Amino acid sequence: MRGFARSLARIAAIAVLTWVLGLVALPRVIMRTAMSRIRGQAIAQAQGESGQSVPDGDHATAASRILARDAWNVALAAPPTTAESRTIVRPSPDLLYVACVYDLASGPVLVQAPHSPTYLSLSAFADNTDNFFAMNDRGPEGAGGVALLLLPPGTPDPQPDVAPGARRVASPSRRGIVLARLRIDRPGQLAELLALQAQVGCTPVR
Amino acid sequence: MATRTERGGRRARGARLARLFPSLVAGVVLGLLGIWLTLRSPAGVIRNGPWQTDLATGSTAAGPVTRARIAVAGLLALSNTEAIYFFAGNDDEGRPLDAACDYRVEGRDPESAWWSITLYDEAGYLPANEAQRYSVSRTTVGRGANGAFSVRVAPRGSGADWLPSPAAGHFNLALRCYEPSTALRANPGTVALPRIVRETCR
Repeated sequence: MRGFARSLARIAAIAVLTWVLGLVALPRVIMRTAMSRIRGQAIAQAQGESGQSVPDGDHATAASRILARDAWNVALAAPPTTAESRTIVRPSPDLLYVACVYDLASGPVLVQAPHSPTYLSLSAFADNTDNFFAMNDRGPEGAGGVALLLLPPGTPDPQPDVAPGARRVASPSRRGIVLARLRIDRPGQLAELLALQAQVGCTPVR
Repeated sequence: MATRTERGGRRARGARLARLFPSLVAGVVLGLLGIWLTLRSPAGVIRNGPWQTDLATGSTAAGPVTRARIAVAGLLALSNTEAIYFFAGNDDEGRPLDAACDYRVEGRDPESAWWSITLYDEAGYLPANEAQRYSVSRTTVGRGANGAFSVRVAPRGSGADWLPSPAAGHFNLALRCYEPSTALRANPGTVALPRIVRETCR
């Protein structure tokens, strides 16, 4: 009888431990998967566009920049959502997305976006999925576009004079995702908004 | 060469591990079942007529349970200061939205700077249609004299107020309210949202 009670207690303890560890690990696993999936798709698309890897430079196209940086710390513009879009469930056909999968190991990363006549927002997500920052271009401070300087966790701002107009936010984790969303209010705006989407930038600051 | 006591000790440890193994398996299985139940729990889901929303989506998680639920249900979603998402898989009378029926989605503008209603197939993807139209919005929808709108959801149609439904199967609708008003953020369960009325079925 005592042996049975001991077995039950042991099973309960293992179950609780599994539950806690699983719930804590799940968001990180999901985020890691999302990061490699977004990068993988951007790399595949860039390879299709440029054919081969070219070193970063003044005249480098967006595709060669993506390949040169292995899709880290670079703007990854997603094509408009259509019936063929299968990357995520319930994609929004009203938005153009730009993702920046960042790694702050070598220093801050600057994300910049132009002002949109419709609506543009920047959201930053830590490696445990926490949405630690969001801003949009609707207020007076967004009239000239928006900029976010991501600082590595736990370090003081190394260059206070770099990107003076940018919001400076320390990321809780070394890696994560910044997502820019540009809203398409009517189909006729698509060409204009695609041009704005191409202006969204993500670049390491050293 | 191992001595007899060493061999005996190893054998005893092996026997103890073999005894513990069923408890270990049972514990892990129960723990995983617990995770599944936790993620399925409707805690935090708010209903408003046929629409439902989860206020936890896009918020900074208060704890590991909320964080895991957000990761599964609303990864990379906008925070609710930027947008609130409502989803509906049923009509106003609780019947699943069916491609064999036509619907009217009607009401007044939800309290937000901009809104859109998007139609998804059962898998959560946009159904292909010749018009390449997947949503209607505050900008594109037509309005009556009183400011109300009425969108026709049907496989065939025309005009700005037609939202194409798929040829077969069930479907669902997403209502996205961008820059929601304070009232909408505070009372997502009671503010007026569009009605989903079933018309004829084939």
